Amino acid sequence: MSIVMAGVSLLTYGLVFVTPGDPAYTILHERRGSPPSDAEVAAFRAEHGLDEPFVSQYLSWLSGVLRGDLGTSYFRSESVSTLLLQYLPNTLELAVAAMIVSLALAVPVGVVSAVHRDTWIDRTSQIAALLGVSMPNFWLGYLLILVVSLQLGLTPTSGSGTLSHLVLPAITLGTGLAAIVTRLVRTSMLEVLEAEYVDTARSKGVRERLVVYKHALRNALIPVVTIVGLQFGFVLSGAVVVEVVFQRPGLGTLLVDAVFARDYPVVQGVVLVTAVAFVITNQLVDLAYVALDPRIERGERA
Amino acid sequence: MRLDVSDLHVRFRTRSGAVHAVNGASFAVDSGEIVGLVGESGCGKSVTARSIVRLEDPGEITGGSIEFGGTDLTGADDRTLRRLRGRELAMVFQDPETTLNPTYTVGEQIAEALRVRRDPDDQPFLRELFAGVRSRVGSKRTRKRVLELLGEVGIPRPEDRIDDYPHQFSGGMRQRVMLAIALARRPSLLIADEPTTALDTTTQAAILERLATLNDEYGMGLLLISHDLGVVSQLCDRIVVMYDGVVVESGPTRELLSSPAHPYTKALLGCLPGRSEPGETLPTVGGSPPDGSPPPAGCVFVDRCPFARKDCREDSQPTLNLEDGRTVRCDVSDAREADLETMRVATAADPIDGPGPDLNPGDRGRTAAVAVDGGVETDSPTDSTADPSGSAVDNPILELEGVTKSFRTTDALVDRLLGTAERLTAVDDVSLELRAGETLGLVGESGCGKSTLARVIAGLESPTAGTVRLDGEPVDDVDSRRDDQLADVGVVFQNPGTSLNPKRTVGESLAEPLLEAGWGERRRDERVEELLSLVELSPEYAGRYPRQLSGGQLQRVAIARALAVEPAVLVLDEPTAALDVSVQATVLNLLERLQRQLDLAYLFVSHDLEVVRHVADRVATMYLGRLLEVGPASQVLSEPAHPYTAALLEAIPDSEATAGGAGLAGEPPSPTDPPSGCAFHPRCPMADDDCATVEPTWETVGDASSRCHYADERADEHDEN
Ligand code: SF4
Ligand code: SF4
Repeated sequence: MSIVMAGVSLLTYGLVFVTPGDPAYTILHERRGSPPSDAEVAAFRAEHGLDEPFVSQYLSWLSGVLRGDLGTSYFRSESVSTLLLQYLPNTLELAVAAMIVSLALAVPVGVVSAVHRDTWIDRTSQIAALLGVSMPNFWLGYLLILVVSLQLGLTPTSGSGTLSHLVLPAITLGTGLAAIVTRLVRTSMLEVLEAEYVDTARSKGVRERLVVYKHALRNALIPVVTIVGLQFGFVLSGAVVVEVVFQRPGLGTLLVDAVFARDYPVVQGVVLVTAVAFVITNQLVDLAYVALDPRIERGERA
Repeated sequence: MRLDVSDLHVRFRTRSGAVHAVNGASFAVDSGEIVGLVGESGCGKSVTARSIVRLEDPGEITGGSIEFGGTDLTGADDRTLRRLRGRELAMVFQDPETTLNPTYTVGEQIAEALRVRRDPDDQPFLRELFAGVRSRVGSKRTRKRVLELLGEVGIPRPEDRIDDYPHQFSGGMRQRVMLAIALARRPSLLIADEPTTALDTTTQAAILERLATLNDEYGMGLLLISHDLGVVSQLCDRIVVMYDGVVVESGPTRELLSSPAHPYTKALLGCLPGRSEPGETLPTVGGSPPDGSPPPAGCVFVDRCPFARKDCREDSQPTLNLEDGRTVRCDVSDAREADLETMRVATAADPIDGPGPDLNPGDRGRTAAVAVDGGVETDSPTDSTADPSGSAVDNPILELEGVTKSFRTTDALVDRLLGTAERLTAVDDVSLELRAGETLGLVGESGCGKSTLARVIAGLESPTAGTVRLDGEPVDDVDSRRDDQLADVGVVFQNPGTSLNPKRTVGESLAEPLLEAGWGERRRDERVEELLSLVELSPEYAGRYPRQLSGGQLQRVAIARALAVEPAVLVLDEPTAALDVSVQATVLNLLERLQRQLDLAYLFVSHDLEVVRHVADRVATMYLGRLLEVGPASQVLSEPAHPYTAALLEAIPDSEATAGGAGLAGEPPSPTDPPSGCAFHPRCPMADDDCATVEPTWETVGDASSRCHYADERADEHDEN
């Protein structure tokens, strides 16, 4: 795990380092509203250590990180940690809400689709899933704003804080994932419904609904969990777009602003947090595995 | 409650048209009765069984009725079905590997059946979901009942096992759990579809006995579906024989087995190796098995029947009632009255035996000759034993000396570095020899190491200690064997379906070992043709793919492939275990002929003692990686000098067996931690204190040797009898 983290940090640091554009120049220009003089640029560089070689820059950043200090934003003069703490909850809230939306949609639809295989129910849901996969996030977002917020006036168009602020972004972000998961649940369910133990359950006189949701679904979810875990990255990248569309303050908006402003410490901070989030979800996936599948020895994967 | 199946038709719709699986089957099971439903694969017996509990999907019932306790199940609604399944009608399926839900504890799976039984109409959704999430059975009362049930089906220490998951159980134990699930409902009829086919003979004996007791104690009716006449005859009051989706004969067990009326029943009984003298050519059923096409108007067996007349094909055969409660579907009295012996001659001599799809016309004369010779004369058993007596003076072609093979049980690096990994000794100090023209049968329960030993001989594993000698020269694994040494050993595995590459034609598969041995193309082609004719397949088969072949034909190809580079030794690992009895008979006959023709030495690994009795000259019994007894088949399999061999013999299901020997208690201990002293002592009925501490040495008893302190006493016992 720590190896993964070190790799990620080095990579992002390196990427930022080689991107064209001089942060000192850009930032000073922005602050003053006019092109800065060479002396000012040099002073800025010295202040932030930008004139040192890559390795020592990286090492000093790394030692900072290890001490819990992610540096200071060039632009806002706030510490990166403060910014992250301020924006992270919003994004997490969105990501989790989107996950819930997608699972709440995908699991029942996938199951029903599999149970009523090759009927109109199945076909409708398949087409819906296809639409869901192919529809771009931002497009759906604008569409929802247009209809739900502007026409019907049910939710605010932008901002964050209340549940009604969350609904549209969560739906926007969740549907894409839902479409993928629906298909997965369906395939996995179809396979499991063929299994002998499903017939065993039926032969016991268990109600069909329980046969499906108790005996089949739990087994069908085992492969789904991995994919959902991997899709978390998809959710985070989607969050960037969705946050911009709905003008929600969050890691996405923070990152976009920071990239345009060449606010490197912030960019690195956001990437680092994302990487941590990835690693954590992987651990969660493993836990979910153990909970779902008793064949995996407890503790064996730790 | 009585089960009455009449004129049942079931068919499956497939892309290549409808498959007619059941074509008018009729039979009944009285309450408390044990009925056996037998037939070979594809005869529709499993589909019939599943239709009774209405799990025939994706098949559909297209006609007939299934009446159970007065209700017609073919038209029953979900609620009625739920009630019946929950309380009256239970089913146990064949493969215990797949029939238990891997994600719930066995306790919960049994408890669920109990809850359903209590009230089939009230199954609260959330309660059930929640019950599954908990890792132990909740209610005290239910838990107690589950424990009772586990004890009843013979699971030792139920309290320790109730909260375990299916993967923590062995196959035999899982099948017991399935049985407990069935019994939880206290059903009036239990349908068991090949309940012991996937299990060892000793486990099978224990389970069958359990079934008999349950029938006795609770008056539970039992419909036992099986391809194994031995199993059925041991347990059943009545037998129903099915062929191509139709019941061809039924009747009380004793009458049906002693004087079968239908030619198919006769043929089926004749194929059993246990019914022929050892070494004798087995009678076979000619022609190919049914393929699910619409049944002919007349008799379903007409294409393979040696007594067939012209009108058999057109006229629908009536079901005749014979005096002793038997019914038979054959209107030709000569055929009904022919006894087994005439039937044998008829099958052996009749050309019907020949034009099976897998016979090379050029080879016909020879096969027919062999068949007649084996079928009529009874003194052929000496053939294979007398013949090599000339060569017996030769040195053994294969010798094992103190061969041991152990594996690490974990691959973790740390364990490897520290040497803390447990080692599993699969083969422990085995010494054997094998001479040309001889068959050595290697028997034992699954996990006893017989397959590992076969792999060591074939060079697929290299022994941890000891030596394998081929023709007197020590050899290691395949990588270090010389070409001629490689050529010396051929291997045939149990499942030809997986050992042949599905993407290669038969010809390509056969040519592969030749290519490796550096044969030129012309010679290869000639050899492939020669090989096919050796195993009685016509040359066209070279161009076919494995999926176009039947199980028996595939096994022939596998044998041909093993013979490609003219080996002296053939290792046969359960070569007929996956085949139907009639197909098994043809394959065994083929092996017998090849041995005589090519003077081959066979190492025949099998769990089926009847088959081993039939083919083997000598027998070795293996337990926990060790040999326990070695000796001539005739002696070892009739007067075993080791309690383990005796127990294996007792476990053979057989009509003649006296009131079901109790067989072996429990299962073999884990090979990672073998018992001290005599490895067999925890299960040995004769064990005493010495056995637990002192490891027995080889004792000679007659021509055999046995590793038991009391081998002599056993021998004396036989003498007294
Ligand atoms: S004699 Fe005729 S009716 Fe009887 S089994 Fe043979 S083919 Fe069928
Ligand atoms: S040595 Fe003892 S335990 Fe082993 S087989 Fe003989 S009697 Fe049984």
